[in-house]
Amino acid sequence: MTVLIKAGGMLTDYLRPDVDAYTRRVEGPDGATLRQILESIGVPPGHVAMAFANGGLITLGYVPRDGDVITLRPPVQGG
Amino acid sequence: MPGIGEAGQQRLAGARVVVLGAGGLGFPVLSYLGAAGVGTVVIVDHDTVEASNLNRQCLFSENDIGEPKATAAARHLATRNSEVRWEPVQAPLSEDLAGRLLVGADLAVDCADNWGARVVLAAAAWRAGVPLLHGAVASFEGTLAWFEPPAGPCFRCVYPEPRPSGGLKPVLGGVAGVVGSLMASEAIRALCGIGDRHAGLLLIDLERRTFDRVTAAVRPGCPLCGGAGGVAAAHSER
Repeated sequence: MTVLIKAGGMLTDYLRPDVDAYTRRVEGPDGATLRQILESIGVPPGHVAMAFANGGLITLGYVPRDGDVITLRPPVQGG
Repeated sequence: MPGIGEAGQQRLAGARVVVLGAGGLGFPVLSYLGAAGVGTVVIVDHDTVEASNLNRQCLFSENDIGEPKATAAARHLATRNSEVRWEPVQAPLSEDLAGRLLVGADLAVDCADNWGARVVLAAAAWRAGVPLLHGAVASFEGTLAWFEPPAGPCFRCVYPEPRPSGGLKPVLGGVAGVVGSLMASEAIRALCGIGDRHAGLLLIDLERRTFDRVTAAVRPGCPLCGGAGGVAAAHSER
């Protein structure tokens, strides 16, 4: 299973992009959750405030499908 | 303008909007609501103006440093449109205060800079049946969302708990300007009854230059709406 994970801001440093400046291609075992995938590539799940794929919000328990494009968001709480 | 015209202008003039936060998001929201002729705008903010605010809070100048934001904002805005009834409230937002301010309100706008005040406003607006327009910014990123009772999802479906943010993140002035201007446009559009309200979020990343519309689901067990729209028992919120 291959997924593309995108992130901006401070999460980019953890993600270590390899496709473009904000995107990393990740090969993962089928059935792995997003949390497990993030832990395996060194992105602390606790720093991810929000994630979305396929036009909807997803949780860290989401099980990605082959070809998913997942975007991670850091906390955004200021005004 | 199509969709507004005389009827829309009258709707704006008869509207009451409660804006929480007169900061980086509040500046464009308040400015455009006033310029559009919204009848009554309540400005809730308990902070005072600081020099570090001036990169994005363009209602204020160096002369305002140390003044309460709510009253300074109302004073400046009144010089731009004196027909608007500006109601400054310099106080921390409690559930009781929010409930009173929202009586008769058409819209609540969340421009706050802290989690606690956002939760209080979201709960009060949900219980009062007042639509909530939520905005937030950090660094180059922004979020805009509508939460409209009684249909879910509500604010707490999307934000069940605060995430560690390491304190307030610096915000580029222009990013707050973009997100706040989007909020103002959404508010005026909604008050005039133009178009629909997207039940979801607009996630903005001005570093990557992306705008993503995403949907959110009602969250089972949500402490505010009960996970099925409606209103959960008040005690579950405390």
